[in-house]
Amino acid sequence: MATRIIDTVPVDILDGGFALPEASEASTNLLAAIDERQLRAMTSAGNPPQVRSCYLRSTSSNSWTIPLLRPPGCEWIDLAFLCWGTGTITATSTVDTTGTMLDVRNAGTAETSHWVYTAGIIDSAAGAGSGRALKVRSAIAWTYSATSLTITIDDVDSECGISAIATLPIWQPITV
Amino acid sequence: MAYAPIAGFAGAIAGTDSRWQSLITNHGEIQDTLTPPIVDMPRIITSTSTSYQTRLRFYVRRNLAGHSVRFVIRAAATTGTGTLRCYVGGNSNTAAVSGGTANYTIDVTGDDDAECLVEMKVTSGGDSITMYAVQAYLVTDGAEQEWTAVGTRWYTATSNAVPQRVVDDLLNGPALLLQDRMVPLCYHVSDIEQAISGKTFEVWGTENITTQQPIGRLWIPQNDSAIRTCRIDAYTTATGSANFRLQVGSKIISWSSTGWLSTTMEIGPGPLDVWAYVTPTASTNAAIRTLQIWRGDY
Repeated sequence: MATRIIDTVPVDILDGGFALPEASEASTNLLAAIDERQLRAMTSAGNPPQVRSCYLRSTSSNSWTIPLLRPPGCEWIDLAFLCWGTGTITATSTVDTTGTMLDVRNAGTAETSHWVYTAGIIDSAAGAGSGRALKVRSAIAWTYSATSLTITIDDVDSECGISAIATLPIWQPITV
Repeated sequence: MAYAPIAGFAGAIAGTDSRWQSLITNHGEIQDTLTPPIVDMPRIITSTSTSYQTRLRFYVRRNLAGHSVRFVIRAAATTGTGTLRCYVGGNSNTAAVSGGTANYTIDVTGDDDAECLVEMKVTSGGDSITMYAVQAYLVTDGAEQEWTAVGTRWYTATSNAVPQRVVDDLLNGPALLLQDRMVPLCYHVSDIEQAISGKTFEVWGTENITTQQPIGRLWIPQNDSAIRTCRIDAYTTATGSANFRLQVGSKIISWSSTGWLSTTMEIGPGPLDVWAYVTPTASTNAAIRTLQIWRGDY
């Protein structure tokens, strides 16, 4: 068993253009180089964070189901919401029904929105109020798979809304 | 003394080595598997029209030869029934919508570097269907433009060292796939038909406001370690003349034509704020209905 670290900013493999000298043969050091590029393509280089606009607005308590294509090798994601108003935003997944919750304290309109972010993997047992990352898979898998997140706006004072959602895959060391 | 070739110095590995088998298998599996989303977003749109209306339009900046685009649309028929129709370039496919909320999967054969449309209609007057979310991604079923497959013969047929050309293909395969399957870093895809009243952050539009207005915001998290040329696709509408402006970090582009704008911008390494502005003329409206910022330039 070995632990492998996934580089989160893998610019070199995206640019490619690697060519061996003429008439060289495959040697052991090339095995590792090929393997590293393949792993990064399937994880961080092939699946960068994505940010999309939306318009989820609530004056009381509302929930929305949104799609998520889980990338290979990813068990947890951080979330960021561009939001306005006053309330709470709770996100849950099919494998993390406790979920994560963020406070929004930004009375105003969509024009004065601010970003709120989850805070990475704190502890899998941490409660929803901790603002931790959201677990989206129960175990590492190496294919894409569709799932859904439930976003709930609650505890609203007058109005609370979300105008963009960012999903940021967390690349943990993997055991192979 | 006669010439006699000597054994290689580099520690060459025979093609029958099981580690080559794993790398060559993975080389093909990545080509089959790597399908990051083109869009993956909530967007609530209701249709009561008995004729098809284009409600969403966005680009897929990829070589689509031999591929399909899969649309997964979460929708419900509130009253009666309806139909979803998705286009990729000139090809289309449909799904009938009835009953409560469900995911409808529509596969459309690829067309190179194509515009995608999502259209909706109801069956009869008085019917109503609602779309809640849209996901689109590539379904792979064909060869790539530059990516080269590596056959299993390299680990089953020879105990000689694997030659340089095959190793080159393995080394560069991941980069060629990533360049061919561009992903958007951020996107705004909104309802083409939605009316604009005042400032509308839902579709990034304004009406009858003749000073420059911020009407949309996104964000590019850190995704690269260097500046990269990124493609930008924006679809705009206006009932009169208008100016549109996009600011990514400290860089700005402005334009006044409606319809599709496709250009490039040097972006990176992030994180960067993205601001969109619209300035319509008096008594008119204008909107940026779609904005896609791609990582790379197809």
